[in-house]
Amino acid sequence: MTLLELAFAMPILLVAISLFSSALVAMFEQREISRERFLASEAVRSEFERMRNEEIGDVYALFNEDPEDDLLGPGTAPGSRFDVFGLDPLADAPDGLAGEVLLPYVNVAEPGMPPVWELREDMEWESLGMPRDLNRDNVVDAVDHSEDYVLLPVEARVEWVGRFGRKELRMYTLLTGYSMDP
Amino acid sequence: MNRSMRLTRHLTRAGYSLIEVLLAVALLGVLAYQVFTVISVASRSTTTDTTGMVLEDHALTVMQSIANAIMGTNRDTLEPALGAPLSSDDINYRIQLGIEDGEVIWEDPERIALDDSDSRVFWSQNPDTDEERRVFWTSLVAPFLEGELLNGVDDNGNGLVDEKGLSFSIDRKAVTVRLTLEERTREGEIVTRTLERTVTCRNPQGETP
Repeated sequence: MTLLELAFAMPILLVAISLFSSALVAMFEQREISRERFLASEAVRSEFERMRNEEIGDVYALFNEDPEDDLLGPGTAPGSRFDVFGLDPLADAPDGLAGEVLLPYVNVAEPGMPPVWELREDMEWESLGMPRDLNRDNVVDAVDHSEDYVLLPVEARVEWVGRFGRKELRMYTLLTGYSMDP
Repeated sequence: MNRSMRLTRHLTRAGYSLIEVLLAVALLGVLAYQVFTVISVASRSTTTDTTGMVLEDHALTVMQSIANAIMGTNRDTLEPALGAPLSSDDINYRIQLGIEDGEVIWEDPERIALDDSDSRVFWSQNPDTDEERRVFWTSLVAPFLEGELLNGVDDNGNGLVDEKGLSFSIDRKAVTVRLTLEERTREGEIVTRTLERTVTCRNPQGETP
């Protein structure tokens, strides 16, 4: 074998080895990403089930970020954030929890004043199907419906630091009350 | 003369000395040992990862079967109805099929439980009767949930005490199912996977059978 033949063969061999290695790394990376997404989706499904375990009229007060409306006193409700087993939250995640429940409420207080939260039908939120009639009066209005809603669209978001960088998962559901009465 | 000198010079340059060969063999031996060690470690790691992946998929299939069964039940038919820190390794329930002429139509009684060996999960219809029909979903259940010991203490911090590899705990309409599967690899290493899922009974009302 001459030096010239070697000079041709080595780069071709190196390219082949690097392609094979890249494929292996990508395969393991995909497996790990899939596993992280599975953990995130399992946590969100369980959180949705915990919300379904409550009376529909209590879900908003229990799972929003306002501690003042908690049913058993400030700070007694589960709140809007939840833990996700097996995933590391972002460094700036509130309470160090990776999961968050998002409901269609807004702060209507004046700037500089304590927050006043209202569950609104007129919010623009495409992924939740908003604006939407939440109390079944066939009207989409701009008043607080935290006491009389019967439908509650919910978005759950999980943000975590995975092995291959920052990842995010969003899932949606629509909660309503069950009744055997017509 | 010139030809003989060239031939002599060629003959003196050909071949390797014994020391060169011994050095080369020694170096090759060290490299081969290193490569073999890396391959061996990678192979063991791959086997563990593969076993873990298969276990996880298997646990998910079993958990999905359990969740689908519990979702259609009436909360009042669940037995035993144990809440944290207690739990049970079996659950009895009845699924509400619908309403006909104002009467609730019920499925036959069903049970999901660990068998006597505590390593197999089975689903049973009409349990403890002559018409009992039983299907085994897995035989890889760990004796206790991952991280838990039989000592009267909540070792794994999940709010339950001494829970088995399959455990059910109930909070109002919600049932939390916890499942730990374990399997031994060819190298003797034990691989464990744990799943936890909360499921809400979708039929909370209606007369109980």
